[in-house]
Amino acid sequence: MKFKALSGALLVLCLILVVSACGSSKTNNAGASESAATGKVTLKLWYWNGAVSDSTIEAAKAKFPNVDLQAEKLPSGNDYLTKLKTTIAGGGKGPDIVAMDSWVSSMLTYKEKFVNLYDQGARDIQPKYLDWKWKMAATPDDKDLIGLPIDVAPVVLYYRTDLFEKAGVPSTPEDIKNKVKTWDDYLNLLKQVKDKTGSQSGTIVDFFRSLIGQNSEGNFDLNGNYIGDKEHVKKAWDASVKAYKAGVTFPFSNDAEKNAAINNGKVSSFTGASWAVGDVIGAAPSTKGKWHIAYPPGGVGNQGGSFFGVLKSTKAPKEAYEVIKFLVSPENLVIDYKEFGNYPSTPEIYSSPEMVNKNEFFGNQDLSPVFADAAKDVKVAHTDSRDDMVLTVLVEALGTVDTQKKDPEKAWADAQEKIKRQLSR
Amino acid sequence: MGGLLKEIYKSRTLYLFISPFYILFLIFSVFPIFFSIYLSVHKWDGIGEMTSVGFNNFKYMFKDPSFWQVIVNNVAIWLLSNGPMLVMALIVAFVINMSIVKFKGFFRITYFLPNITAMVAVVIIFQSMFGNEYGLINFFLEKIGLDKIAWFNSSTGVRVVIAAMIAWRYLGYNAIIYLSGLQRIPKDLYEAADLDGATMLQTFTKITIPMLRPIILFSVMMSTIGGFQIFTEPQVLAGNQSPYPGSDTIVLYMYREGFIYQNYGYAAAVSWVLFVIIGIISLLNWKLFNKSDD
Amino acid sequence: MTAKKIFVHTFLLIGVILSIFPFYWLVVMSTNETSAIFAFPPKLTFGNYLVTNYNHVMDNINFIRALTNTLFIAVLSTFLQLFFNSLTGFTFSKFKFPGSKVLFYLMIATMMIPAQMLLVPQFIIIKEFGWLGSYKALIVPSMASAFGIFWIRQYALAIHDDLLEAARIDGCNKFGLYWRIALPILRPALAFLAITTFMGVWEDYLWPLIVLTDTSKFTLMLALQQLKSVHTADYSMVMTGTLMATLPLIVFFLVVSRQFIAGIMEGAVKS
Repeated sequence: MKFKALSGALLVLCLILVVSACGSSKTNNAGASESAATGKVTLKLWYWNGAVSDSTIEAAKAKFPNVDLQAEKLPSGNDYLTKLKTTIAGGGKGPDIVAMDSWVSSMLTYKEKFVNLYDQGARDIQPKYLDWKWKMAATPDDKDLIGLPIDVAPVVLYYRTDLFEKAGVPSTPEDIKNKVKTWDDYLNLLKQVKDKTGSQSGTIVDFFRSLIGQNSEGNFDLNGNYIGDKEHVKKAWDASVKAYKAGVTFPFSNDAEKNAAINNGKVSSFTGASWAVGDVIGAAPSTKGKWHIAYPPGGVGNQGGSFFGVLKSTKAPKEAYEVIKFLVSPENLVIDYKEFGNYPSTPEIYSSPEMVNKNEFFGNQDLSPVFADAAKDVKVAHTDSRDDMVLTVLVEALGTVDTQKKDPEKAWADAQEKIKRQLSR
Repeated sequence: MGGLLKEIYKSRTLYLFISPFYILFLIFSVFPIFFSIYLSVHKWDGIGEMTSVGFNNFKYMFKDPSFWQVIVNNVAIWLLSNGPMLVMALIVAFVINMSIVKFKGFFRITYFLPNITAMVAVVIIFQSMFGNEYGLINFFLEKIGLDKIAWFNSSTGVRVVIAAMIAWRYLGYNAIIYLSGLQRIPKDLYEAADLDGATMLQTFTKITIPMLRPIILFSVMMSTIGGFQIFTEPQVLAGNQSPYPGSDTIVLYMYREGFIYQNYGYAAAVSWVLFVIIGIISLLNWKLFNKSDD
Repeated sequence: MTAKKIFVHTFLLIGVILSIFPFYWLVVMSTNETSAIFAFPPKLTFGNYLVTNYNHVMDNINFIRALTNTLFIAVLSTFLQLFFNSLTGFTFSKFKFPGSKVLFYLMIATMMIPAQMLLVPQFIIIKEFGWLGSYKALIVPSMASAFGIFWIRQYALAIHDDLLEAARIDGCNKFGLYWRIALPILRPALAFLAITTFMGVWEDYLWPLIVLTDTSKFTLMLALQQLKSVHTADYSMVMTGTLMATLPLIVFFLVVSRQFIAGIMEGAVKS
């Protein structure tokens, strides 16, 4: 009997231990009510490393003394999205302000969960921002806005000056912009570069992503009808296959492979977003000083760039709007650019002397004018929450054209069939 | 009936002993399980409204070639990785446990090290090892005059890489399981066998294996359950949206449908079919490895 | 005899090299710059950037706080699991009572449900309890596990019934049988369970990510993810952070695995 009592006591003890040991969470609530007592508004802000610079957040804290701004840096990428979605779906105590990546458009479906920033006076600052970027966070009828633009990521051409010179093709940014206008021009150039230097460009999939990024139509029209089997996508598909058949694409593989190839001079050019600057510098130290960037062939796409939105559950939409308005002001976006290379979405500062960004890795080329030039010409297509699925299927199919030598027409037909089956649900 | 109640009353202490797990189960798992059963006959994007779709999710699944493909992939990866790995783990445990082996502590920790090496490092390492053009393995193959192998270009290649990663991570883990099982075998049994002049192989098959049967059942069951829930390795190696042939597993398929494409209802349906598959195979294992005890 | 010895040790050493190499590489990467990771052939020797990388980690995240948080959760969870799982596992292995089989199989079946599927409804429960942001959400649901119970049960099957019978005659009741007879014999099994539980808590990622709301309460794995930015990652910094987070695990393993040796010696004494 003694032991039974003991075991019961142990069970109870363990439970008490757990509950008491974890009671510390209460201190948190105490902190919040304390700030309420002093008349301060508490705003919780979620972002990820690299979304905005920490110094601009500090500046915002100084600028709004009546706001207790609690900035929380969360894991980036898919994890951030998962946490945000679970919080919205579960209706848990969430943040007031959230950073959102280029998936912002997919959140438009849940616009009732966000504060309509037009109601807070966002139309007043709209002229400062790139129009295409602004519209990504607005409903098609332009009545609701769920996010203010932070940065853009125009896709430009990265290339090796030395190898292009050796091949006798246009090798200055100006020449490339003027002489390499279309993808056919680029393909011809790549063939010469391959013959003379043995180096290649991005993979067949990189080609495809860049090409569809330049389209003004996406996979779905405004009414949600599937148009990803139409001419504009097939053209991109065919052009990618053509480049692959010409032998100018690097074999489709993983990132480690591509990085090694770039470092070893086997890849002499690729189209990449503005943030790829850091990637090349990190991946290919032995090619320092040999790279340049230029206006891309065929038009400009966009790959990334984020937004700040306010959740409907906030108690202080006005203050929250003022804070994000400050954070995305041109002066603060310049600071982000200098710290992370996130290119601002406010054209008025593109020509300011603060934006000059001469980079040793790129032979002291000033990168900003190229990005500025490209950012103004970006075309964005209508996005849909099902885009991810469509793109995954297409990319997987296109990959097999390279890796398994699958017939491109068959791969296309199979992929379309698979997409349509997915959409039939 | 009265007899049963009396039995139950007599065993009340035992029910108290096993109660913690079942109390937690009632609180934290029963609702989620019913929720996901309910979800499996609905369409839900995770945030908006749910709409009832009857058995459409299941009908779609059985007609989806991708679904059958991921089952094939999964079984292939599971057999490739777990079969050889469990046998090797048993041998390693047996060898480490031998009285002639010195530095047992050192071997235990080094064999276990892969299991605690963080995934970020493991991924970079495996990608660098198995690259087509710049992989270390192909580098050495060329050095000794052999042909490169395009690991990521065929479903077999990708499966081998993923299986290798799983086997490498869990060999030591399973060896530790067997090793602690070997501790239960009385030393005098081995000594007696030694005196009788038994070979290493005889000791292994006549003493080790039979005495270890419940532990082997445990490891086989856990590998089956784990093998049909392989997720991390292909996900980190190939990403959520695998561009490689043959690397998609059932849970990865379910995860992508649910968390990436927002078909939560469909994902729930997949997970229940997976539950049935694992259940059937576990039952077979149980019958196969559980002859002596229980 | 010596030939056998050499053969056996050579066999084990080959395994050691294969097992240790990626960890060695992790250490190498954390002493180098990011560029060395992508070089080909990769750099496989130590560099002298360890201190720089270490300082980057310490500047970017509150490592010590995350470490303390994780240690607290891991130690508490491990003790709870060792107690509840061994008690339940022992009961299932040595006693028969109405419904014991059904209850046991039900428990095994719970392991077959993919954990990802229960994520959202479990989040809702935690929210209803008001446990969001509290460590209760991490510790309480995993106080007992099917894995641990199953493991202990399989191990405890080998306990001789006459040993228990003798103790019972001596006046031990059921809990006494567990506490005095079974627990000492189960030590090697408990050591393994302690290691896997501790590691499981250490490496758990998705659940803490979803239920913790406050960065000051983040666990190590969450803190490490804060190091990564969307596009460009400072890999050598991430590697150094990973290495720093792994070292306590190795220490824990070394301490606990002494229990295996203790088990061996005990066995020797008995025979």
